Amino acid sequence: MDEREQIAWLYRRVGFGLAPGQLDALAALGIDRVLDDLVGGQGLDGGDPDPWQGLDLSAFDPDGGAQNRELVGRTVSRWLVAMATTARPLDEWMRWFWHGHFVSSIRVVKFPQLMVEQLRLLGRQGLGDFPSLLSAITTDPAMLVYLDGVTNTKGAVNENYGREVLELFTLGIGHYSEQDVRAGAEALSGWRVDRRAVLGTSDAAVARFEPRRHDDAPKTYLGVPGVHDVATVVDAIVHHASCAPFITTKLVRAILGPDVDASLVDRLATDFAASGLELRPLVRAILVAGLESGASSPLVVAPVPWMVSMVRAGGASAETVLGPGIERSLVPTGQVPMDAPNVAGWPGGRSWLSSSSTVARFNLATTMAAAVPADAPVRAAAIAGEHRQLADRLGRPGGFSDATTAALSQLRSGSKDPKGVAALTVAMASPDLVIA
Amino acid sequence: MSAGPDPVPGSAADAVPDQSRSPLSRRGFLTLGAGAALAGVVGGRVAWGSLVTEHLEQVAPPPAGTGTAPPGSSAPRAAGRRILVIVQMSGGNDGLNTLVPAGDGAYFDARPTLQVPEAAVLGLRGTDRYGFNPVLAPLVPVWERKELAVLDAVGLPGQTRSHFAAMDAWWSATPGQALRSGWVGRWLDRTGDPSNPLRAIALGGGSPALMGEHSIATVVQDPSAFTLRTPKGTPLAQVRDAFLATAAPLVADETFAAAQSSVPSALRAVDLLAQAAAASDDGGGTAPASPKGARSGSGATDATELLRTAAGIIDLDLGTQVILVAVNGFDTHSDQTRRQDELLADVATGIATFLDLVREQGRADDVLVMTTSEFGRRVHENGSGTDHGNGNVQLLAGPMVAGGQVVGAADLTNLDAGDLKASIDTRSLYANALDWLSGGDGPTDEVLAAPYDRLGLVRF
Repeated sequence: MDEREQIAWLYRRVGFGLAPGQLDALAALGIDRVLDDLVGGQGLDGGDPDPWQGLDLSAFDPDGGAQNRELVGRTVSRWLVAMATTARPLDEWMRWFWHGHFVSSIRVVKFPQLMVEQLRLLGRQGLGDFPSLLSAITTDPAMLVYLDGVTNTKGAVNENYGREVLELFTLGIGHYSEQDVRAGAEALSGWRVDRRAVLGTSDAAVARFEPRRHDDAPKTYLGVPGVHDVATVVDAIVHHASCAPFITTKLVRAILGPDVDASLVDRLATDFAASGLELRPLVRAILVAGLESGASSPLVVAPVPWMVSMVRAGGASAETVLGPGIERSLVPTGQVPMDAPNVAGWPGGRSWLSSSSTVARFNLATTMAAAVPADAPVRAAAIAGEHRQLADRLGRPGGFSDATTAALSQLRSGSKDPKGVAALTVAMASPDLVIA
Repeated sequence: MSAGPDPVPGSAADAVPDQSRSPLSRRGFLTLGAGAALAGVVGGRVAWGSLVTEHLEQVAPPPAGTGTAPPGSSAPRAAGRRILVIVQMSGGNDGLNTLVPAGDGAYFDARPTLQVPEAAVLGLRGTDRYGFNPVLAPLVPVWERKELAVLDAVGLPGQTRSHFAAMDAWWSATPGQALRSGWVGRWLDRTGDPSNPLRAIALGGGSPALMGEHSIATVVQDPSAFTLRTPKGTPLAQVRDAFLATAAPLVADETFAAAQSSVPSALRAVDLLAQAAAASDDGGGTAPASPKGARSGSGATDATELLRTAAGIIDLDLGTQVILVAVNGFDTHSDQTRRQDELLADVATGIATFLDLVREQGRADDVLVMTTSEFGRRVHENGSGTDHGNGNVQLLAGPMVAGGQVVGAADLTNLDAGDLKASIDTRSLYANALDWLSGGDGPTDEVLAAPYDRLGLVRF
């Protein structure tokens, strides 16, 4: 890869794509500076605009009013717009990654307020240290609702979070026993979510620990004696030998693709463990490895990042194209933010190549192609039939495949396309743009 | 969130459906399905990804314009129009509150707050031990017609309490081994044209159960949205042809090639559905009942709506042999009574409605409905719900079922770590379904890798 391709690769993999002219500007800075800027920063807090700033959710009806759907749509839309316009693409991408890892669903959580707070947490701490992130998510109100922490009490233990935190969030199946599931659930018992605080009618904390509902008896958990509360559970998990490899593997697959050398994962996981599970250096090391030729393999882009990157490349107003209602257009793709199918998140990879997703992708491409402004560089390239340039402006400086190039030529010779909409549709929907 | 195929706001005028290319929208079943949001291909995480990999690599793009292959070409002729409908209840349905062992005091002891009160249990002719949860009332007439058998304590050896490991085991029917193909997919591989994407259709979410080594299954997210739209003033045919042309020649990279191959597969499925809809518009036929309001977003689980769509697909006579309806939400760790009652009522209404619709179509004898669920739940409640368990109740319905009976028996006094022990191997249920689908003499034992007891559940 030359530097231009390296930069485009970074932004395809962890940056929601490139805005018009951005690749030229970044290439002028050089890859080292681009990488430093991408990985630097302090998380999405304070200095960066919050996607949900000023969003009024007070009309939310906890008893299920008709307006709730519209409020959820606005909440989702705000996030998609942030993805398409962010000045901190890696931080936003990490929020998206953790959203698919520490899954909670609006379908169960109900309150968009709680989903927004969880997403803020993932934005703040998504590149921090994993123990703090795990500790925070364990008592995060949306998670307490989604995986039944709120009904997990002494004498009536609910195993839901206790099981999934080990199986899906930290260690993977085969690295714990049924006794660990039980002991962990007992140690995490006693948390509640204050409904009045969620609705703003009380100033109390939203998540509340109630000692009388908590089983404080010390237990042996993952081989560690004396475990009895959130801190000791998290401590036992993050020091377990499988934790660093599990998290490293998941991040490596998400960034470098499914076919990664096991020895690379081993090396990265060892460094990750030695750092005390600091995420920022891990992600930087993964990206550096990916920039070395051969370490990354082609991966299928999920519908949401694909759509966002097309909007970004097209240069249309994100607020318009990704406005409220966009969540309904995403339904046929199989991926709507805040609505993962189950606690394992979206299955990902080649499952995004189903008939349903493919047809939905084509139809979304038609609307995004039509929304590209008349003076946008991608539209100029499409009208001129400059296929190589069009590919570059869609984040593929290496050009299209022979098949897609031929398809665009065929289209050009066969029909009038004065606004380039047909060519943009085919280009955006093409296999080339689904592969990062 | 609703599931409508609404175009992106602000550009609606630029992207209208091309009606001339979407005869489907004229059909009753498609409007019925408008709210039937289907979660893409839902599956078992990494294992599923690798499975699809193999699947896509082995399927060459079919030539454009290839028609529907005759279904079940190596199966007995009489079985050619049979359709197996699988209702996949994901999350682990609580069997004890489905088929209630009301004649067993141990049940009431284990479920002090979650029990279905003895007075509320619906009695079933022919059994004193069991009755139905009252939300299953729509199925009582089916039981009375002897078209419904209930299997108690169905499970696999070495059943796990992990949703995902359990689902892999149920999908593959090869517990303890990595998921490489599904039990239905392997049957499809052996019985007809593996490149026909409409032999198996998943509604409400895909399932690796349908994935063979060679066979394609179609996952339809929302039938009414399953058609191509182009911007206003842009000729659909040319854009579609150019989209198709992006698939060949194949790029050497396997992942890229898989993305290319997905294009002709999807377009072929769109075309076949459109052709079938157009043909059946000419021929009349029984359109399922009136449209029903949409509920929800991806992963929506309105089983009744999905089963109505399934009846519509059967009416179209596309050569479909297996329809899988995915219903999510059975993981009732808390608030179980409300959540499970809602879901079971929907499933029961859906199955009863579906059987009525196919009878009106004259296809009653051509359908067999079965349920699956990756595990049952813990015998002792946790206060407001139940945690993961084993040994679950499954339903088998249709005129060909040896109905009006409960087969197998859960023993509430002989538990394994708090879980019921399975009394029927899941693969016995599968074997009956595949035998029936094959007309009695098919590759069932090869597909399931061993001969399992048939228990005489289905007539051929």
